[in-house]
Amino acid sequence: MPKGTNGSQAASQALDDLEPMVEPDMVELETPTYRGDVIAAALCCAAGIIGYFILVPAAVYVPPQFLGTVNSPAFLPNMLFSVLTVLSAIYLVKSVLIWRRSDPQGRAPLSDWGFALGTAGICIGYIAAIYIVGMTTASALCVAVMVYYYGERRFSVIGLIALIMPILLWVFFVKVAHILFPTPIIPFFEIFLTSAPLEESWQSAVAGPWAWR
Amino acid sequence: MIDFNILLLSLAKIASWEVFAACFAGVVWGMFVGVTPGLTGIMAVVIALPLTFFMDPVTAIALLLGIYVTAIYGGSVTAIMISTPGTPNAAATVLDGYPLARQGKARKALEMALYASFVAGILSTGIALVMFPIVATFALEFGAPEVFAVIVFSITIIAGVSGESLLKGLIAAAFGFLLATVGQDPIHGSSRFTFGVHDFQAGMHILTLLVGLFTIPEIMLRGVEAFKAKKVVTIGEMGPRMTFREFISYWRTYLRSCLGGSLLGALPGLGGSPAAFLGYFMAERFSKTPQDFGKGSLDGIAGAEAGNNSVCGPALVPMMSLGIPGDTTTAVLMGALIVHGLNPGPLLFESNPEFIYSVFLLLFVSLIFLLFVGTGVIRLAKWVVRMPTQVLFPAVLILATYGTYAVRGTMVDVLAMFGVGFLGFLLRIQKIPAAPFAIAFILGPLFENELRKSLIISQGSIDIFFNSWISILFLSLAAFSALASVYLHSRLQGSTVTRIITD
Repeated sequence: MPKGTNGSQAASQALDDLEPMVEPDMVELETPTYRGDVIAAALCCAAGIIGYFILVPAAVYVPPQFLGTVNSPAFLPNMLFSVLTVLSAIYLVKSVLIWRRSDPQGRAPLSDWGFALGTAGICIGYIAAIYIVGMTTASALCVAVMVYYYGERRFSVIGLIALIMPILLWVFFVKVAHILFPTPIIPFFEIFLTSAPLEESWQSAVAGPWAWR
Repeated sequence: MIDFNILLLSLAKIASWEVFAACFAGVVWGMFVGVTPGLTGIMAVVIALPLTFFMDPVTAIALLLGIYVTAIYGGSVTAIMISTPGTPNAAATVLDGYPLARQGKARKALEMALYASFVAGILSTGIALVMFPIVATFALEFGAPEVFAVIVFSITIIAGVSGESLLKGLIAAAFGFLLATVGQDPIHGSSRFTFGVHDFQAGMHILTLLVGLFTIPEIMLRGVEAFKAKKVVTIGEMGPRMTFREFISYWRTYLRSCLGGSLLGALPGLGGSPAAFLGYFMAERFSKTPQDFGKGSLDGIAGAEAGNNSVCGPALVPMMSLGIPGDTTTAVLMGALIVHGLNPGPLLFESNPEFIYSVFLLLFVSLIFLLFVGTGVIRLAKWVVRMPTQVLFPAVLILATYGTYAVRGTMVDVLAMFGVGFLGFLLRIQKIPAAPFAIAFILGPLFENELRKSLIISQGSIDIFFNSWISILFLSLAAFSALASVYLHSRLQGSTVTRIITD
């Protein structure tokens, strides 16, 4: 300890000498991180173990005479889950070692994650809506919500896309390609079509040379 | 070798306006189907099949070949413009095509895809024409162990070069193989992982997986970008045209992919997707700038497109010479020939050689029409790049959903597509490569079939894989490729770490 100083002064001097703690910069959502590698490896490893011990016995029927042979339907799934577990375990060990040795890394902003999860939420809502109001109405709703969510604020544009696109797709897939859409709980679009007074005239105008059924 | 007298007779046979008109109509219809996600080449051929019943055999095959050739290229247009492979064959084109479109070089990417398809198509058809008898004999040598060895080799190469880590590539491949086991067991027919859902009995459709894996993550990530930009964002500009010098500089890639694709095309059952990935990864392996792959490399597009289009001609060889179709589309073509009273097999070459030559000549004609129609499509593509992301990606989501539903008319496929999409998003942000996942899924059923068939024949002994020189060759190449990947990745990792520390 230098002459003329006491312990607390030395401690505060030492603290002043330290560089301020620098928070790592935020990274893009698409930038892989060592921490993310560890989580991914652990999840893959868990998937391998769960698959081998729970999924295969529960979801693959093996006739008793084929148990443990190459004839068994569970032969390849068991082999693949084992390979997945081994590879993921190596990946996990490697990722943990690299993570512990590396400098702290930044994280993707929570808002980015939130936005991506919001998109996923719209997709899930879209699937539910297909069952409830049918493919065409659900698509119109989904396009409108998603275009707004992605930042388009002109309601004329949103309305136009939400109206034109599902109808064009309906004409092409249902009337031209004759693909049957799933029957919804509330057949909103279908009711609208059958009750339209000018049905026949605009149908023939849209259908043109194709036979309208 | 080629009999020029018969070749001239065949030329006279196809030289009529009906044949050319049918071929052109096929090219236009094939292009339309190719650029529409959810409509596959096989679907296009099947839809057109009843029309051919009223045509003579040459006109009929002209229409079907026009569709067959063009649908393969057409899938790359949406792959490049909106990251949605129109057909499974275009899955490898997404990897570099879409990044190029985002960099404002969509025109270059589309032109490269078109010209590479054309060049490889012409070369491979020439190869098929000349090597027709030899290739047919070689294909006969491939039994279950040999096909299994080829698949192991393909997966090792693809897992090794498609990402920053061989381990991640192999994990992705394991997931792909696992997903391919959903459905009926190929040998005994018992259900696997269907959980009582009837629609899963037939397994997951290739297009469901590909659309989910490549489209949904892109929609989610570009949405974040558009949200952060708080302004109108477009994919980019069409950008400059590709110069002749640029085009010619990739001649080695065209040749390599063409040879690889021709070989795979001649092997029954593999089809265009593995050839596209093989072409892509060969291009990466031999490239002077492998670091550009996946970020927008013309070389990557050249490899993938030359690979998948070089399958067309050679895939017809086992079909016509042995009666064994190279893929599902050639199986339908074979059905069309049978309808017209032409039985594919060794006798066809004896009884009707000018028809066989006509088929190869019509492939050349289809490719020339493809060049014209493809150029027109590139001009139309500018409307896509000008569309704001805020509008484009929601529209793509709807199109992907309709396309996936249309494949088999079941909502289970739509649910599976979104499920795979969310998984693909998680894989993407951790840079676990999608390519080994996709290719393992595509090859999964064949892999299992050949592996189990071989082991059943040998009563569980793995010696069967070392009994023929072909399987020994491919397994050795697979081992060599894996070791080379580990070595190259360790070197690359060292340099990356050094760069990070220096930064």
